[in-house]
Amino acid sequence: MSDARQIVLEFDSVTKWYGSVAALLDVSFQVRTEVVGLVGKNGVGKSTLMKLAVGLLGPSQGAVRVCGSDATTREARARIGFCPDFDRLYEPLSGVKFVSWMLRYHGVTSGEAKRRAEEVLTELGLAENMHRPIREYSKGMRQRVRLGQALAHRPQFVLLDEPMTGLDPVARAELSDLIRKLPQRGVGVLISSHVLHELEAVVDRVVLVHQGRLLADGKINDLRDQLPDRPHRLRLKGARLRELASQLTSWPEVEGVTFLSDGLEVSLSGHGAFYDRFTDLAGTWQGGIHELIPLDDDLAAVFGYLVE
Amino acid sequence: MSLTHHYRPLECERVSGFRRIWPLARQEMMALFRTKWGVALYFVCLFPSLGRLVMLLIMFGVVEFGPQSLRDRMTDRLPPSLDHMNPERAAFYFEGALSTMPGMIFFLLLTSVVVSRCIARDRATNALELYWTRGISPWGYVFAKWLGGFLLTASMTVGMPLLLWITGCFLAEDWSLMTDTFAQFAIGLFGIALMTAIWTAIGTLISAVSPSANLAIVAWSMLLVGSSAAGFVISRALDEYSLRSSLSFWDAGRVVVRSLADLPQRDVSLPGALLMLGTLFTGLLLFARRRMRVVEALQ
Repeated sequence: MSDARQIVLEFDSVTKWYGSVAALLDVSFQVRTEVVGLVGKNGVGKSTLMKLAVGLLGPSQGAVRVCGSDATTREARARIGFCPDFDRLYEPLSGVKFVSWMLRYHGVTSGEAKRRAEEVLTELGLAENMHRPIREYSKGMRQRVRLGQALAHRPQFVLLDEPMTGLDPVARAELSDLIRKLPQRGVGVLISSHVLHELEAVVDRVVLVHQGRLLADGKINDLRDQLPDRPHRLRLKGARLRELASQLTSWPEVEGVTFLSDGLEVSLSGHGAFYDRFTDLAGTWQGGIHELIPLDDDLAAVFGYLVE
Repeated sequence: MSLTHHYRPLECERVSGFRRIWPLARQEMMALFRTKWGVALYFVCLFPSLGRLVMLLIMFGVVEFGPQSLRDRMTDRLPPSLDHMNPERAAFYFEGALSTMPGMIFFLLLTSVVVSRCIARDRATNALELYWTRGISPWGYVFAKWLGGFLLTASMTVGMPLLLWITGCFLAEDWSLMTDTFAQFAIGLFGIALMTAIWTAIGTLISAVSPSANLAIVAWSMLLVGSSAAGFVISRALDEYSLRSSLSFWDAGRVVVRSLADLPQRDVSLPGALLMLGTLFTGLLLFARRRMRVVEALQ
């Protein structure tokens, strides 16, 4: 089934060489109006990929396109919003002045820039503080200003580099909520973060880079299912554990059961069929099943398995 | 936090390169005035010009200070070598900006805060990415930073002499001061503007190659004061006074301006001065070309 959402970023067989060192090798993926996570260890080509995506670098081979235009052109840059990973904003300026100042580099007139800056900062919840100097801002407010400058010119593709750094839990939740809403407004988002559990809560799918190559591209569950040599692991808590273990080991998709101090750890070869059977069992199990927790279905586990 | 406004596709309007870089140049020019210390520094840098203004007011009799006979002697009997003390000569208005003391000191004070830090500070804070993803090329960015620093510095080195000269013309008894000094003053002022442009360009390039703002300030101060001191000492030691203008970056500029304005000067080498400035500028430009490559600048 073809996806009707617009492609905002496209890597087409991209290779990037620095002299004789290959930073990226034959990388192809697309970002539509969705939130895509960019995952990779330090030094595997992630920074190069981000620089290519925002047009700071051109590829040695292949093509990087933003909304159909070469990423290094001015047409593309007008459609790119970039929220870099740095905290040293211009301290004496107010939030609204900083954002309108950034807008003026796009050729927006002074009056229009101020209007748009006020609009976007109001949307980001900074209406009351936008006229105060940035030096008086908290980490969360600074992050909103960074995000504001990336969104103010109404880009169609936004690259967020470590946007959650330094935020308190409430601000993180608010920012996650905002990022999740961007695709509804026609904005595609590529977000890079080392905090995998937070990334997982925001993204529709992930792009995983390792040693200059695209290691995986897809939804986290789909990627997990494509690792058949890695049994799914579950932790179970309930009554009559010995009998439960005995019953589970007779199922073909259960590879093994380990006793823990307060429950069981179950290894599965195919978890779809297991959940069907287990639902029936849990409903009739005397004493009840109290807890069923997947131990390695999250992004961190998938990432760990893939880069091992 | 909520997004209530729907995103609309941006109307992609082509604007000239200058329209995109001018806000950056303007920001650079005005940055000093965003803090009270910056404003204070700027006014301190205007002290030499304000001192000359007081001299002008005294010598033209607007302010009664000292005996009349002394004032007459100051204007009528000064030898040509002291033209820079005589408000009836063009040199009075622009020589202050070229002198080692106080001109160079106040120039150093202003430029070490504004010019020498401008790019190094952005490099150290990773702010370069912000500009370079907005349709401003690395060299457009360097140009904007230089332009902002140049305009601010020129307000001191060019703007103040111009204001002083205009004031002098109005304070004089007739328009003869204006007609007599106009040509030489205009050339001298052009020379100062040219040298300010070259000096600030060298300062901007030092900033472009420096990894941090503090290092850039040190390098700039060392170059300006160090080359001046080295030129002074070596030329004296070798008894070859023309060497000074070939070794000192500040003196080289002064020699060029004085030559342009046709002011008398002894023991100087104009080719040496031009060679010194040209070599320094070209060397720094080549080094900055490497340091401002995206791969190296955005580590």
